[in-house]
Amino acid sequence: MMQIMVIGKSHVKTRSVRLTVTGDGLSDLMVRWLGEVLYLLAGEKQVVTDVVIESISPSRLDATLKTVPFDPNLHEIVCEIKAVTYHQIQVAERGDRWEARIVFDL
Amino acid sequence: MRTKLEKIDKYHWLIPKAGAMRVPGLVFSSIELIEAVQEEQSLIQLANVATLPGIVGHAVAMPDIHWGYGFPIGGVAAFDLDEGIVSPGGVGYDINCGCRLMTTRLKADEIRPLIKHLVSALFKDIPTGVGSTGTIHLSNRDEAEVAVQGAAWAVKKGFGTIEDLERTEDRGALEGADPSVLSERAIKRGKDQLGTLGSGNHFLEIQTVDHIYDTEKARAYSLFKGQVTVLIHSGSRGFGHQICDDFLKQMTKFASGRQGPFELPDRQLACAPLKSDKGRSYLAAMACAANYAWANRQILMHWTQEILLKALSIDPTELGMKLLYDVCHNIAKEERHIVDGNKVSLCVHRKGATRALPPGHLLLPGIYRNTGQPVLIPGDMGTHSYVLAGAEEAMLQSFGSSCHGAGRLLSRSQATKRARGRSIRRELEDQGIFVQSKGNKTLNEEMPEAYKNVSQVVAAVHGAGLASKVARLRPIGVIKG
Repeated sequence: MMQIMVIGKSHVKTRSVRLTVTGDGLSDLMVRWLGEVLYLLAGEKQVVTDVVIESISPSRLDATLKTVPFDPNLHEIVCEIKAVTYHQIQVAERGDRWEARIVFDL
Repeated sequence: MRTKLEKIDKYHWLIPKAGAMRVPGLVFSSIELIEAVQEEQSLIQLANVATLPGIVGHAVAMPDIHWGYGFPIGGVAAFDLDEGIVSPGGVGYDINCGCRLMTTRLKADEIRPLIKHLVSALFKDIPTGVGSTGTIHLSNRDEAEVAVQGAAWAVKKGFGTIEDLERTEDRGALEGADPSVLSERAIKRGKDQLGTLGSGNHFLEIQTVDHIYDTEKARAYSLFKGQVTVLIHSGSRGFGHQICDDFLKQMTKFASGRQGPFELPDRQLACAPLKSDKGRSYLAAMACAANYAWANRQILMHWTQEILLKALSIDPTELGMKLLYDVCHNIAKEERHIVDGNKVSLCVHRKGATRALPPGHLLLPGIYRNTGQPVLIPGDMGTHSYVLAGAEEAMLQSFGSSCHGAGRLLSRSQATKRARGRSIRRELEDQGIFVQSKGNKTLNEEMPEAYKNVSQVVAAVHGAGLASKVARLRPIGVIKG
């Protein structure tokens, strides 16, 4: 999602952010997780550069994210995602991989 | 999958009650528009809205209906205050996204040679674009005042006059706003976005009145042929988005009406009973965002006036800028309507719909009591916008509502594909419309072909008697985020 939104690189030291998200099933968890990532940019002006999912279940996700401050001289927002929606969301395991369909409000 | 749709007459279609629908759906449209509507999922969404507890009359769709999240855009639904619900998805993410039209004493012929200069001046000084922040930075206390006082806060700070409040829906402030229910995130996002236009379909447009349909009402609205007008389309920015998001997430666990749990046909329709703490909290937070949006457009109007005065080196009397009216498109509020012959209070959700009060309505200010409420219908940036006047049929058929714009025809990605290899900017310039925006992405996504024919949409509203045509406006200069 962050790659859709922001281009550009920063050389400042990254900050670590730990996130725990709980949800009512995988779809809800997906919306809430992406909503947290979106808020880091929209509310905290932090660009997420790396994510490590430490544990995940249908109702809980623990992750550590690396972020850098958004700098208009170094970063460009090429696509503003305003919200992560539940509209026609699909999160499902197909064979040996997971597929998700998420509609963003632009 | 197509929804069953029965044609009633030239401008009315019915979705008969079926399955879990508690009321039928009523679609205002025309033969030219209805086919495209049937191709997408918006009518299914309208049928879903009709299943919500406490809905009364019909689930209503305007001619500019297109699919949204949960509720369709161009949808109107009214709920009984005791049995009904309130749904953040029935208001939308951009709470009180709306329009404000200003008239001037200028004539288009006078400013056409200066249009590039004027558009550049506006683009330079009006904060636009993705995540744009302005020069106003609110303390917690100021932000709470904005959330409660709305446009009056801006007027108090010198952005405009008391007269502007008379010409704003609900005088620019919904009652019941309570900043104590806001999340820290919402407060944070509201701090530095007041006085910003935003991105996407938001715009500021210099226009000229190119056709008058109703001379008497045009005179009452101070509109004349060849006149320069300015239209602002913006909303509550990240503040409103955060409030919608916060409550949507809280309500996904509240799929229950007063009569107990019910099956939610679409998670984006998450709602809470109007009489529940959650429902009341949402309405109090939504009112904060609505008021923020009115303050935002009030400030944008004031800055537009200042920029034009400076760019044209004229005085305020020569410019003669006055607010004609400000309407909101995304809102839920308590209103009085007649249902089955009885006057009742209802919570009316308008998502991509405009209030359209008829002549004589008590909520209208004295200046518009005889004409009906000005209804502002922006089109795409390549064609026209319209000014209509609210009419009596709106009170009888659509809970006092009209359409809100042209309505999207193409998704943003479809529009981007259609724009490949073309210069939308140049095409518009060839039509005498000068556009300035941050890059081409938004311009391509907002290309005129991405929208329905606004003239057909307005003709359907006029034909159904919801509002009557007063004047048509043509863009000559546009700034976009």
